[in-house]
Amino acid sequence: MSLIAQLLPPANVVIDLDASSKKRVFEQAGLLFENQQNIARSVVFDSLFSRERLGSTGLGQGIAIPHGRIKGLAEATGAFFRLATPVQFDAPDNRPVDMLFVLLVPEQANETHLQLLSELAQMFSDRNFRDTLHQAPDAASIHALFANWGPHAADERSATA
Amino acid sequence: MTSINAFLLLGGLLLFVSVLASTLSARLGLPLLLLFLFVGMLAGEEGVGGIVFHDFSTGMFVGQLALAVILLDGGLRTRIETFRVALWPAAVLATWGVVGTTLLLGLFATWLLDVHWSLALLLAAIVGSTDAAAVFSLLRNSGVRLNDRVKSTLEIESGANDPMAILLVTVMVEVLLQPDNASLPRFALLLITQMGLGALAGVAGGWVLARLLARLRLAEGLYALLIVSGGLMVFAATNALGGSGFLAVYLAGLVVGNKRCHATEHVLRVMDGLAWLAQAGMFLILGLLVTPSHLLEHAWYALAMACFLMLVARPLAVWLGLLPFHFARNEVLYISWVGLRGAVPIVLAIYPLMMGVPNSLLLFDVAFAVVIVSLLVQGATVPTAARWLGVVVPPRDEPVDRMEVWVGHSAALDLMEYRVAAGARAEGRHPDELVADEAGDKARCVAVVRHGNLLRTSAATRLEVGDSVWLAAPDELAEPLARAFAGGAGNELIAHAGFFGEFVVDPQCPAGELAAAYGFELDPDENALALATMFRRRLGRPPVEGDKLSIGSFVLTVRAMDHAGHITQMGLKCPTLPRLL
Repeated sequence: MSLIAQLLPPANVVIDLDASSKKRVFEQAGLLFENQQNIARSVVFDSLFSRERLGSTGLGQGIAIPHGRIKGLAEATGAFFRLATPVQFDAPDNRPVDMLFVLLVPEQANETHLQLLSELAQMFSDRNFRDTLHQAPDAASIHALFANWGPHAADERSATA
Repeated sequence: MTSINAFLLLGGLLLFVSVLASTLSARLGLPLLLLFLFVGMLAGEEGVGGIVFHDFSTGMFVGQLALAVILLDGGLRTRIETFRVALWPAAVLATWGVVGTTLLLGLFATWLLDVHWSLALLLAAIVGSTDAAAVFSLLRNSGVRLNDRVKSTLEIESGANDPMAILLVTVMVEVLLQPDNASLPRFALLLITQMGLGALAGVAGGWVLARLLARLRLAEGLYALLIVSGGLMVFAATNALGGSGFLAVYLAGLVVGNKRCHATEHVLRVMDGLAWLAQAGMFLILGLLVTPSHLLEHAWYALAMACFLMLVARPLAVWLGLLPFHFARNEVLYISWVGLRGAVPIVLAIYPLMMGVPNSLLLFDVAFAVVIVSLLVQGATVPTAARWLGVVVPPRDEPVDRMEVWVGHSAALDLMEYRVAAGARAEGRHPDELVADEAGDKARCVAVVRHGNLLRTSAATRLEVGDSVWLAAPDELAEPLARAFAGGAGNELIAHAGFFGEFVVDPQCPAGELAAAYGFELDPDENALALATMFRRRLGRPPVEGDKLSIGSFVLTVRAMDHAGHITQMGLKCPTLPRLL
């Protein structure tokens, strides 16, 4: 099982989320984390939003990985959202975003926590992986995709490129 | 009559073979210059051509003429913006660098050749400067994009260091021939007149030429000829007055090239051909001039000299010269390595021959062999060494083609051609809609060409992969627009994420916010600074695209800069997992 799947509880995978803007998505994320992990929604929202001031966490190709440090959090935790309609995210390629992986890490973020970001970026760089995420029929199959993802497929392709 | 025809036939044949051979050089990875040289040697007395040519004064004449044209062309193509990062380092290399290299190499040659120190120093001075023709052509055709600091330093150095080498050669020739006349103040005066007059005449001549170009109405093809003839006048007049013609003609080119006028675009195309012709002609003649078997006689000396020059003298001189500018270690190494020698040393080696310095044929042969070794070893490894030392940056997104249409005297319209790549943002969009999204009202779609035919656009038109789209847009939008037409770059979400980092960050954002977002410490006084300012301060030198800085376990990179030298976009690279097999 991949590192990412370990911090993504099945209940934190949401598909066809209706949100009209970046702000609304973050509010929904706050709500989810409050219900599932007991993290105050305002804390989540503020943390994600302040990172966004530094520059968009949009990666391009409709993907974003908003992230933030949370005081009092013991373990890193994540949530995946697939939106019903893409929202404007100020991503570097100007494309609206329709898939987001929100990552929350403890305030004393260590090296491993930060490495999760590049792990996520690498995951989403895999075009096949993105396509299957788009087509997945339900949350459970998306969770399975995260659980079964291995870096090898992408590595092999970049080695031959 | 027959002799004229034979001569023309021969000249035509040599050039013809060289042009054909140029397609070969890319495949062999050999510098084109070397190829010309070999064609010349092949045609020469010991090759298949059997032409006996020992006319050094003709060689000198062709060499000077060609160098002037090449330097003029180099100047025309040097953007004044590059001076921001490279002027002072290049100026130090062009002066101290030549002296330092010459002194070190001279010491070595005194010991190696067991000759008087003044002759050894003369030899060292001859091969002391890098060659503009070699540097310009090899850097531009290397197929890799060097970081601006390295590229501009090398180019400006090569354009500006010939006067120093010429001065040193003149001085050493005088020391050898009239030791009584030689005195330090005289040489200092010589240096000042060479540099001062050269700079003055170059800038003034360039300014006059640029003004003329803007006002005159000529047939299109004549603009380039006007510039070349003007450049040659500046070159010759400066030399006659005792200044450095090489410096003058380079600066004149620089001034003309940076005053955009309606002729610039066309002139550059013509100059391309002229500079090529100059290089081919010069190296052909020089190849004819040399007697290959003499080169072999001194092969060991030349090899030892070349090795010492490449591995000890130049690296030491460059390292010392660049100390105050805080270049990264790999940049210093690369600049040391690309100290390409070319036609200048060979032309300089003809001076003592014509002045009748004893033993000067030895100098000529050794200098010639050093140039060959330098071109073979350093020239062939320009791209490899760049990748290996990490001084390359990802290629710029650029239009496939561009044209300048002049509307009246001072207004220009840039027409740019883009091709829709698979997976590009442009794919499946209406051209006008796409342009409005990407450029607002600053750009306009002029034409769409599909399968070689002009497409009649309607509201239902959608761009397809392979379409050529012609846009009228201002220069500064050329790159952003190119990104809309570029394909999904393999396994990267945005272009070159592997180089610049996954995230794009705002250079104006306070550095403290970055530290707060990821939980690392900055110096207390850095928190309030903008990221770009903090970056610049830690870097210790003017930034260029591709510069990297480790901060915490992250790497900050410069993604894009504007013409004034401000960072407009930065990248953030996250730490990666150590990957086990």
